[in-house]
Amino acid sequence: MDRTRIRSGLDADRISNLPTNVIDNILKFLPLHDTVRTSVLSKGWQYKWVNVPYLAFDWTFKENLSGEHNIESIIYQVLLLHKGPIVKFTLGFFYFDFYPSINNWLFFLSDHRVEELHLSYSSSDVRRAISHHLFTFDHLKHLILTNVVIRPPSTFKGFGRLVSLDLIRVEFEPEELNMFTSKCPMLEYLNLDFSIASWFRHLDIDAPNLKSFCFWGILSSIYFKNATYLGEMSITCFPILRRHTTSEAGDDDRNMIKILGQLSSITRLCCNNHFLQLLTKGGVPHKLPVNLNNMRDLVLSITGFGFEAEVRGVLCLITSSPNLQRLQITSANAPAEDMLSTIEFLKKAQQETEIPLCRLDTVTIRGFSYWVDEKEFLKRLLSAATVLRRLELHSAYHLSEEEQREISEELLSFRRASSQVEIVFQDPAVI
Amino acid sequence: MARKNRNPVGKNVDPEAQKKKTRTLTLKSSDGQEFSISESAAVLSIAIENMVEDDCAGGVIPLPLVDGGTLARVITYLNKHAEDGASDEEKRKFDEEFVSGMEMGVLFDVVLAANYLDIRGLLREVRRRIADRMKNKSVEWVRKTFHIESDFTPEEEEQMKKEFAWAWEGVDSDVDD
Repeated sequence: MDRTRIRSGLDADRISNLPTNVIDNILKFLPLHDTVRTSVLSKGWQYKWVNVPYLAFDWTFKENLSGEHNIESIIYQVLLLHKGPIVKFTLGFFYFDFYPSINNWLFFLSDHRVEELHLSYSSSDVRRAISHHLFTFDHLKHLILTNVVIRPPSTFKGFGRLVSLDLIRVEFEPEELNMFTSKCPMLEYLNLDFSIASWFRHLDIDAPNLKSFCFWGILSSIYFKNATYLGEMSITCFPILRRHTTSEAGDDDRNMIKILGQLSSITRLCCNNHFLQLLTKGGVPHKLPVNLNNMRDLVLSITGFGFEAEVRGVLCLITSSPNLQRLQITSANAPAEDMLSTIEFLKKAQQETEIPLCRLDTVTIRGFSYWVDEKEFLKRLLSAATVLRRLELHSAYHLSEEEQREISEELLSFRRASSQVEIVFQDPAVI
Repeated sequence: MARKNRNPVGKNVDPEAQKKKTRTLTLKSSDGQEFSISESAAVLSIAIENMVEDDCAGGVIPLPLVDGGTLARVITYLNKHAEDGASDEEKRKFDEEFVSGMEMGVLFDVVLAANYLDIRGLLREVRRRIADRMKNKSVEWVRKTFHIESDFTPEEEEQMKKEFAWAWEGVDSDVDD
């Protein structure tokens, strides 16, 4: 008797009797195929799936389908049966012939309080403008668009709740992007990944709550209008022309101050050599007028330590960041025409100016070659960093133990502000 | 210089947070077992936090919907997540191990307790774990594993299968994992 009771306790259908919110949330973690199949489990389950607030027509969904099913009609079927809010909607792939349908789906979704929307067109060859219904999603918090063109209509009121925006290979006019971001006052995260906008003549970022900005693509100038909270910035950019001109007629502004002068909250800056070149356009000041007191991490890529403008830019960044803790420089080791004048500059800087580096703990050099220019740069750092603990050198080519010892000894023989520097070599294999 | 390093300037210790760490609460399960727990760990449960704030606790907090065995498990979770110096990575690993060893019955006990006590992180982990047991499984497998009895006639079932034929693709063969 007792045994049967225990057995029946273990065999009880517990999942069907869970509170509705728990079941809904379990179904949220399942791919759409599994969610829909639960409708056949029992009559109690028949309509549970229609309330699940996440709908993902993503690659998992597509891979589970054989060719005989029409994706468009499945999407229509699911949308028609669905009840209640759709918090998250993903269309991870779509094709040309979906366009009329996408218009309908977005119109349907626009009054479903969608908070997170991912739309991705399958090909990057031809882009088409995304339906204007998108611009009426008032509840949107996260938006990811891939391989489309966005043309916000003039009536666009903005996304008042949008927190994060990812535009991947998305085409737009720079003025439109500027207008778009300025109408998203809550925006904290902005990622522009290989997005092309008529050569990006100029990019204005006006986002008062922006905390993180990532950019990858072509850029000729950028300006942050209202970015008091911007903490992390990562920019990998490429110039419009193959040969980047450092002096353009009429452009005598100091970009360094114009671009970075407003970013008082920045904690981490990650950028490539072209962005450094862009920063140094119009000349490099010894330091910025206002210190970047929150800067902890600088991750910089340079063409080589012999390029005077880039080295001046790096030094200006370091000098303006009194609380810097970690510095990482990746050098492409390209030989520079102006190497001699760069060395001259570094030597002069050594005697003339003080860099306040009392927090710098770790310096990492990737593509370490120990050319004269690089040596002078390290000399400059060693003489200023009072608590430097670790100097990590990832060499561009193999160094024998003997060579490593010699380099270490020489580096440690320079005038050094910190008594505890440990020099660590890493072979190219582990870069 | 060295002394300065040992006492970093500007690191204020919140006296209220400190108090929570030292203050202990007693939680009482449905079967009368009592457990001591620091307040800082206990208030990771929103429901307990509300009870503490409303001061209706009076020393012992009765939890009539959670049995002793389940409560002990929940407390292990809370203690880990309130631990000083546990990194996010460490907690993530702990979470994974914590739910991966649970049998189905235990998962249901814990999901109900986490739902009742409003412990968001734990709830998410257990829900995910239950969902994982259903992922890519046939209807028959799910019915058998979760003891769900079908009340559809074979004809009704066939009709629904036809309606959503696409959803029957991509199912694993029925093997226990």
